[in-house]
Amino acid sequence: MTQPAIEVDGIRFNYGDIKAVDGISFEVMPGEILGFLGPNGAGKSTTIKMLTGQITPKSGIARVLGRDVSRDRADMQARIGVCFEEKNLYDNMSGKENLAFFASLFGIRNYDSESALRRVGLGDRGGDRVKGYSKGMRQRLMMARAFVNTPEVLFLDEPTDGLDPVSSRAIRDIIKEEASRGAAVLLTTHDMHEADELSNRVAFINEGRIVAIDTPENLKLEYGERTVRVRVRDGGTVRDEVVPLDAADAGERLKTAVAAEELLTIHTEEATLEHIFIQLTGRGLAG
Amino acid sequence: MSSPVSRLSIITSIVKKDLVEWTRDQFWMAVSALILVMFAIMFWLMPDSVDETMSVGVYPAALGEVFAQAVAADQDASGVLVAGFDSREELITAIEEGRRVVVQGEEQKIKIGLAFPADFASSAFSGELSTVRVYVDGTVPGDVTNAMAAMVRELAYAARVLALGGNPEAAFPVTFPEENIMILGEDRAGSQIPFRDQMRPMIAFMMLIMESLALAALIAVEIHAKTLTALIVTPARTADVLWAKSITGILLALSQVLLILALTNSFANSNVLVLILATVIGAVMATALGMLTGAAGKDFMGTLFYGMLFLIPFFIPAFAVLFPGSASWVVKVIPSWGMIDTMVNATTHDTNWRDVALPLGYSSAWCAILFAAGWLQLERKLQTL
Repeated sequence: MTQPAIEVDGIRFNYGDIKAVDGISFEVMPGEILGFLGPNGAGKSTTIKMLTGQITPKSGIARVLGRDVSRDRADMQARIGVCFEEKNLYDNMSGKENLAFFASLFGIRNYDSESALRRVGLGDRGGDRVKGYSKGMRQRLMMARAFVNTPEVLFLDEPTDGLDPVSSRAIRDIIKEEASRGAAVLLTTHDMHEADELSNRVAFINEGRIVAIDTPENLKLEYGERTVRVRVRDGGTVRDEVVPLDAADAGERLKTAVAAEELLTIHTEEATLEHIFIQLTGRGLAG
Repeated sequence: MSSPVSRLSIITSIVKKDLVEWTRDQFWMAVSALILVMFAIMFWLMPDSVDETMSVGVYPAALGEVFAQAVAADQDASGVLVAGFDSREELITAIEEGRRVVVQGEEQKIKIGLAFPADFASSAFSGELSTVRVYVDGTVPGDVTNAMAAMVRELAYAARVLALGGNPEAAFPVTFPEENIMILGEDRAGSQIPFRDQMRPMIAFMMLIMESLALAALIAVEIHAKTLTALIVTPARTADVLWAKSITGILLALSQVLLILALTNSFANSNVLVLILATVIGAVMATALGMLTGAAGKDFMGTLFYGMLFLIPFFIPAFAVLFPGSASWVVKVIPSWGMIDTMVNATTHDTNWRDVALPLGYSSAWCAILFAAGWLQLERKLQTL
């Protein structure tokens, strides 16, 4: 039986009197992408800090690749990759030098920086100093840096935050490639579309607690409302009719709606993850 | 792909990276180079010898010759040149206007004037009191003025002894107390240390300050940019980062100070080993302060503020050695005193290990305390990033 790459059981962390993470539990299997969805301050980054060995949980147990993150950091950290929300690169060094330096910390000599940079679309800018990179280029380099040791577990903290659609797409494709290689990915984001597209499962975290964890489809089925939106022109005015598919009279209402003078559009709609998050927590993801 | 990596290999990688970062920081590179060149030039522009001559004008000119003979007979008054003047006014004007006159074949400024009354010789012979006026340029130290006054008294005394047939017992109702001068340490009369040699520790310390601030800036930038956070989620441990920063700081400070010492020809007549050891202690101390202030400052100005808070008091001993006399106890309790004192001794005196054992031991103890404080402060910072 395959062991989980990440096992978290009731971990807690507080900054003074503020409970940042309050007894959360979850698992991530190899090759799985778990989306960690929550607003700023929900406890996503603190969870990543605990799992990557930057801080020690006050209580509970967390294992990454079977190693207790509180005790066996050294071995665990040699096998993980981390992409931080902050673009913490060495600005006065080139992209190649940044990668070669981090590779050397993992004991990798003669690291093929060229290939790594080509993979993230920076093949022609690898020799340039990072201080001349755009935000998108920096983020691509951050991703390349997270992969230097071919990690078995990837922690990605808001990897596409603030990027243009092209850069975001490129990074999402790389995340999918890493997962298909077998890496377990813990992806924190407050972008519901990204989580929906990439994640095998998503966990909603709010005020340090996981309020729901499942596949996006199951969450939508469990908490969402399926509807059909019908747009018609009737007597010179355009109006929308929203018909809940789970309602008892759904068939009748739909028939009535489409019988209007002129049918303009008809769409099925399902709940977004954000709607479900709001439904569960009473607050949005952006805050 | 990756293999178990040794601590030494990780530390070496971080040190190499830090040095690359430092060499590419245009601000610190420019400032370091500028300070290095500026101090080297300043050193070589300073006088390399001490003018120990003092020109004394004497009126009337006839007494000048007698005074010159008295001076020549007095070993303590070596370096005193005597010029005779024909009028009191001429003597006063020469001192007031800083006029140069030829004295014993050399052009000199008259700094002190002695105006004897016309009846000085007869009064001295008869044992009567007479008044000799001593005119002094404002720049003449008080002890030199007093020495001149004493010499006049001795001249009168000698004249009186001569009048009494060479019997000093009967010369005056009072006798001069017998002087028993003890020179503590090496008597440097006639071999004063030139100003530029005294400047060496100050110059070396300035370089240490520069590199301490450069290390502090390097650390502050890493904290601010959170690159240190990226390091500690790799196989690099907190201790590896701390060792790397320590080595980087010591390498930077040591190389810069050794360079400026070489540029100021400090190794030529020095106890080289003592000098190098003092420099190493200084480099470790500068590194410790760099770690302390780098971890405390949130940005460049913060780092500079905390840096100055430590470095200005630490600079005092380097400044104090420019002035004659022993340092006060207040200066001696400053952690940098021992290192500075050793540098002074190593570059200006023929010193040995016994001479510098106490100041070096004192500085080493402070060095250990400061290094531990810098290490703990940066470690705490790394753990709370």
